[in-house]
Amino acid sequence: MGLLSQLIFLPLAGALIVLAMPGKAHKAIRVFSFAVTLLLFALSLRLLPGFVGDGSFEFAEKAIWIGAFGIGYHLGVDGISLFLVLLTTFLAPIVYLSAWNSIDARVKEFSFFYLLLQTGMLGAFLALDLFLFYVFWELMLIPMVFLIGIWGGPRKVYAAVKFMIYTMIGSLLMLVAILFLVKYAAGVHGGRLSFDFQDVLGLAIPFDRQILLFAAFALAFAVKVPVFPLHTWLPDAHVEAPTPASAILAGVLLKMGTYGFLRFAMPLFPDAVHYAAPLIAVLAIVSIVYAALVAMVQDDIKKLVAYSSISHLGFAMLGLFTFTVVGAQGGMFTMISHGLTAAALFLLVGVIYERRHTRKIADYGGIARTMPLYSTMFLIVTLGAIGLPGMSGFVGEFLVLVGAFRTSPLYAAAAATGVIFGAVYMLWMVRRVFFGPVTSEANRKMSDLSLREFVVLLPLVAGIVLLGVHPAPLLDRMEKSVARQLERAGVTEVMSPVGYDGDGTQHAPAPEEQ
Amino acid sequence: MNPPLVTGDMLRAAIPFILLAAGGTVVSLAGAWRSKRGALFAALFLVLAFWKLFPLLDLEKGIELWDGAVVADRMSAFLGGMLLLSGLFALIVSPPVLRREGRNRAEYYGLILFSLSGMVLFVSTTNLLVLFLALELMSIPLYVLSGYNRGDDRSGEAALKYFLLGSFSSAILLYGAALLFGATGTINMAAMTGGDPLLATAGAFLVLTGFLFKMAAVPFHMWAPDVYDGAPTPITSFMATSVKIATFGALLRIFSLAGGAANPFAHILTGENAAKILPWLAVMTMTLGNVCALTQTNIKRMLAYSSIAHAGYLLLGLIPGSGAVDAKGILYYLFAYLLMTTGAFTVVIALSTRDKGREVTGVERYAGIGFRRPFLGIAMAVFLFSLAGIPPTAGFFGKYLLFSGAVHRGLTPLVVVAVLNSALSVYYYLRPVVVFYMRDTDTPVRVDDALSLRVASLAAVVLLIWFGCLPNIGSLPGVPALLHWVGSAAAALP
Repeated sequence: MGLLSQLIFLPLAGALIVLAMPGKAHKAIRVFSFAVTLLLFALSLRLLPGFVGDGSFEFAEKAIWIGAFGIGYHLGVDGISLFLVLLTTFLAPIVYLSAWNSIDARVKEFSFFYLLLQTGMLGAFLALDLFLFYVFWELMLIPMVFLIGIWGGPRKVYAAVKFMIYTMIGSLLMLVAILFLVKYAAGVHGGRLSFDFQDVLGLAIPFDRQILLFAAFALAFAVKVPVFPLHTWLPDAHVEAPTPASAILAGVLLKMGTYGFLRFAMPLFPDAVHYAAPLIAVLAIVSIVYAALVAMVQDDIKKLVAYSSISHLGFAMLGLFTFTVVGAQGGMFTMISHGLTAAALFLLVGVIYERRHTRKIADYGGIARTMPLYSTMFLIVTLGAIGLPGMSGFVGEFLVLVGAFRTSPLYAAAAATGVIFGAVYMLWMVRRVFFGPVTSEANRKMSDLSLREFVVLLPLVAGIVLLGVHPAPLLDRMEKSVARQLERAGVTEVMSPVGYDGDGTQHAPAPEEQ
Repeated sequence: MNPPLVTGDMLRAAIPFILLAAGGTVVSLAGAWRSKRGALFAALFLVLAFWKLFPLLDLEKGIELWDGAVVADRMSAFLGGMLLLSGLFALIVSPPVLRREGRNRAEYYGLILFSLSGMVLFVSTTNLLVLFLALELMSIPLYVLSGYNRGDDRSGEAALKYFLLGSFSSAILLYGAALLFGATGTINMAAMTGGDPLLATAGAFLVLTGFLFKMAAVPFHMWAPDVYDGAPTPITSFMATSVKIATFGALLRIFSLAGGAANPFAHILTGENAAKILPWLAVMTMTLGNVCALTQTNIKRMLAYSSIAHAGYLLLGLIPGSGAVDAKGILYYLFAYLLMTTGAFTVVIALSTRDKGREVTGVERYAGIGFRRPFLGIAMAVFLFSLAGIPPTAGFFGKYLLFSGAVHRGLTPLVVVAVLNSALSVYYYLRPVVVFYMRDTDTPVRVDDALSLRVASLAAVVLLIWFGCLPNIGSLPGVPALLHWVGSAAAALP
């Protein structure tokens, strides 16, 4: 079994073992599941040394699954999926550890669904066969619905069902598009059925068909991103979801949408993508600005963070649809950076929620005095999220804006307001929660971070700073793959991004120099 | 020299059917002495019939007897096997329910065997008269069985409704058969050609109507919710699965005979205007089934409407489009449907209670049961997700086959309607899961822990996941994969 298969099936095996453990043995289940996630992360690190980054699919595994229908088991990783996979496995132990105490009921079921979710997400990032991809795409939905529906807040059922229905409508239409695409490909390849990504590429599908197929794929992915106006499930899901589910949802699951666009929708339907690009770019900008404005007026911290996610993912979308390598790389980088900051923010909100059982901004104030360590962490993450130079958020947003400016200065100008609004709502919230006088007696008694919470947050904060000062290792490894995907999407004029000579030998300048 | 009276072929082809009919008689009679052992006796005959049927799965060439009265080929063997499996499930899950009510009598099992013998004959004939006889043979025991809960007036209502409407539809089918005979001068559908076009088309449509009634396709579905709700749950499960298998199986055979344009049934499939009827039927059936299921609070009625919706998906496979009838997709889907529907009803049986002689089957009282009864909860979740068509279950793979086949035959718009319907269905299939896992209550509830119920649902869960993940690999060493069976059965059709 290859490395990628091991990554996918390790959590599944763990989940099945958890299922067989006695439900009362909470401690044993926690230790075991945590060990599985740690092992998963360690295993995923083995991808790094052997990774070349030449834009091809590496560590590929190919086998026949259901041969009669051309369904294969094809896995591979390139510069686009590599860091999403690492993000997933990096967050897995961190988020699990964060839920050590907060999930105290039904630990066994929680661990089962949590591990199953890892399998679904990793499978979706690594699958290069459309059928396999669809199976994993749906597979990751079910555990998330259970995580929200069982351990969620008062309106958990509503949120879980809404999440499920929204996603299902999109993905089922995508299934029809996949079936049609495979039929079309079979016509081109002399009747040979194949769901393999590489076999359905470059088909020269007539434009009217392409538009419909792209629309079906785009709907499935746009719901997941989420792009305005398909975003309404997200605030509900986030507010009701338990902290760990929120962190995974924002940290990894939302990236499925943007990943899907870059991996499948754009290269498969190049003409349609170019035709629809202005619309999608505008929707992305609307997402950025609208979500930022809505975030500004939220009185619930978690909801504010949820809307900020929509805004940030809007940047990622805009980056992809600038059709420049630099913009798309910025989009990818924004995804990774947002994975760290959003997960960290949700975990941070979870920390004070556990202590006070409220998420209202108005219930807090002056926490910086009672919880100095926590406040420092929160501030760093906030600065990372709003894109302060030297933090991870800056690199992504900057590159996206550079790409957007090349495509249309208007895009860049409109999107840039989102950066400003982002700073406004985050810093405003920080001021109200952390500074000023301590108004409530309960806030005075709040204890600072425990060792476990500190250990959970430290890697995230470190990651945010590290990616901010030294983004080159990521950008280098992404570049060829992003360029290759854009080439497939029909972008012939591949422009060399700032500070790049195109072959990746010259490193991107650290943000301080720009 | 006269041909021999009984040939080996005759014995081979007809013996499963004869065994079932004889079994029905013996079990009913033996009930007079050994009333409590009915299920066991019936199971013996069923297994015997299965054993005789098994070799037919590998028949190289079909056997045709008595002018198409009995046709034995791989297709009829596969369908017969599915029917017997459905019957076996009914025999396994019935005793706990009947014992609960003190009505565990052998006649019940005898009737199941009679009905099965009718169904097995129904899918292995091309002779209109035999078709009608088989239809009645399978239906009449079902009328009786749906009224088996004598203390429950809803059960009586179900039986009466089913009987009246069922007889009416049988009469329509018979009338169609008469017209077809009048037009073509033969009752063997395989040999029918030409004839007065108006008469032949009318006859074919009337016969089709009889089938549509039995499969509960819109607009002939009205009886289904009441009958499914009123009948004893094991019978509901048996009806919902076996009757669908029998009607779709028989239709597959009839439609595949319509290859020649002169066959009356070709009018339904390829006639200028008539060919539009099947797509509309499919769309109406799946949409109405799903929309009505949305508002049901009684899980049996919900599953009844959902079974209407599934008939709609299956009808997709019967539309030839630019190709031929999709036998593979239909057979695979029927198998998945058999497992998931029986499974869901088995859980309903385990959770049903009796109140003043009535069966109570709401799920709302079982909040949080998924945690107290982990196996029951997981099993129900698997059945419902499979019904909704979510991977990796057989329900998904079946839908994939049907939908992909339809796309290849140029029916993409219909497939879009079908997947939107599937998305709609997620809403109501999710509801029992929501109750089982996402609501809390401390009210103690009674759950039937009978071993037979657990065995039946475990078997269904394992097979559903197996057929969903590895449809091309046999589930036991030496047993070919389900896809192989399906393919070989479909290849037996002309």
